[in-house]
Amino acid sequence: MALPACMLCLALACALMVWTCAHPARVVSLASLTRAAVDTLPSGICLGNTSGVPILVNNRMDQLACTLTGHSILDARAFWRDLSELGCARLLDGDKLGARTLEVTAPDGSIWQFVHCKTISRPSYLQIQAIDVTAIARARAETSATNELLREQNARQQLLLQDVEKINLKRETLSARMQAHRSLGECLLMTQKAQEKVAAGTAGRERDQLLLELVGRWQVVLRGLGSVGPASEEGTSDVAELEDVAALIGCRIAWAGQLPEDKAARSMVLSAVREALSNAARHARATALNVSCEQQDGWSVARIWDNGQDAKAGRALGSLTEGAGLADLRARIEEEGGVLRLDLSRGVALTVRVPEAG
Amino acid sequence: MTAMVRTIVVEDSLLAREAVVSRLTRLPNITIVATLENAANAVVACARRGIALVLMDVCTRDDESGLQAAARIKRESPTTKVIIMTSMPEHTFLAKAQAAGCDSFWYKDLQAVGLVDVVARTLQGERVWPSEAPVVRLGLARSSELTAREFDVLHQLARGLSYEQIASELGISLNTVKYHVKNLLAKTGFESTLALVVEAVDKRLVLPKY
Repeated sequence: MALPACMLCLALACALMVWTCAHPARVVSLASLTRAAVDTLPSGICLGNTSGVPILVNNRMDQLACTLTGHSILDARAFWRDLSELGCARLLDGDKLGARTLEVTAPDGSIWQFVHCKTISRPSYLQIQAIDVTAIARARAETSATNELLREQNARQQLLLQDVEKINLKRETLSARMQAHRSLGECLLMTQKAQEKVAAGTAGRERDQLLLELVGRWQVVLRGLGSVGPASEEGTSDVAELEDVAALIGCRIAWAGQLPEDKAARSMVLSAVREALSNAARHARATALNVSCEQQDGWSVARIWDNGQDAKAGRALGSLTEGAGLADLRARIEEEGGVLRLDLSRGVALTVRVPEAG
Repeated sequence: MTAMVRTIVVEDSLLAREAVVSRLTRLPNITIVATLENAANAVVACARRGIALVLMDVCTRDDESGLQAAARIKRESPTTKVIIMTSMPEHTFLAKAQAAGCDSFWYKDLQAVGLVDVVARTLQGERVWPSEAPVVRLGLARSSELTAREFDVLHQLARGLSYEQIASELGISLNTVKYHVKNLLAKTGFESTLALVVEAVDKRLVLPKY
């Protein structure tokens, strides 16, 4: 990594410079060597005292200063201020030690990260370091573009998946309809031919055989047609099945108002009715469940209560521990943006409030 | 006199339902008290004692999951025997049914063991389970060639999750997710995850909703 190497060189250079000032005659050649080494660093370095007076500026930093601000660094603090005000500079998050970082795009397209901090040694120095991050920044931009592309693909994939199941169902239904049309067409043709034969004078055993065959064929087709179509068309309605189940456990459902037409809202209300039915059968010993529905400004509100022992006695329940069923129901309703409320003043009554789509 | 076994059949396809009922009538002690299209209604039907057997389809009306309903029935009425029936080769159904505490599992399309046999053995206290899900072709590969982890990743892809979300969901690194996806594409020959997932859902190999 560039940073620790620079730090090491910088520390070494500072130490040597200070020592050089104290013993100019003996170490000047070593100081020159160190200075030359610092100048060859790929990073820019500027070290100044706390007033901003530059102590050390290597070649790279000098070149950058001239390119970006139009002059060499005369004051490290002023240099940082000038950098901050450049239109091509962007302030990044600082680190825990209080260092500030600027990302600057040079006119030649290279991208530099300038880090400003104070050394913790005594006396304290102001340090500005410049690191070439062009390759990293370009890789980051590419990754960001790829991520954006992936996000878009994911969103598209999610939409397509929602359609896959619907398309499959439609395909099955269409296939069944095509089969039905083909069978009907064949039967109609057979009927027409039979009529023609009868009209042409076919009689006796041959005619009876023909008609028998025709009736048999029609029976097969009609039987097949009776079992074609989606579940909701072929069987009982969702409410009718629920009423049958209620009857099975000795409970009658009394409906008031209209169930929501919106599929999701209707499903939530019916789920709540199921939960109330289970509770009525298991705990309340109820024989009837009342469901009152109404629509209010895009919301469906259903109130559900039973005639169980607590309700009959007008007994209030102090508290109720929600079992898994009720907790699941609450989670499902809240996921749809709805609310489930429990009223324990006379047995258990549920109030479901769910938004209707559109 | 043999006690009658009060039975509920949950199956949303009319033809399949009638076929199941017709086969069950071959057993002398079975009484079918209800045939339902919605699995959640079976939970209500079992709320009062007396239902001894439930034959439960997995994908039922209004997208209600037969596996979730079965789990609740076994939790609330442990003595009720539940047999899961499905024609879907979805790879997680067997494990989910076992986790739900179901008593037996029957693949409708595999005629190696007949339904009547499964029901009779289950009522005698035996647990009848197929050794594995039916094998289907997924692109160039057979479903049996995919590893459990690859199935997990495929399942999460079908939920529409991003690679990062999948990594977090499965507790693995992003690179591991990419590695599994790469292997899935290499095995099946699909060029994109979208094509892979569409085929997997189309073949009913992954059905995240249930």
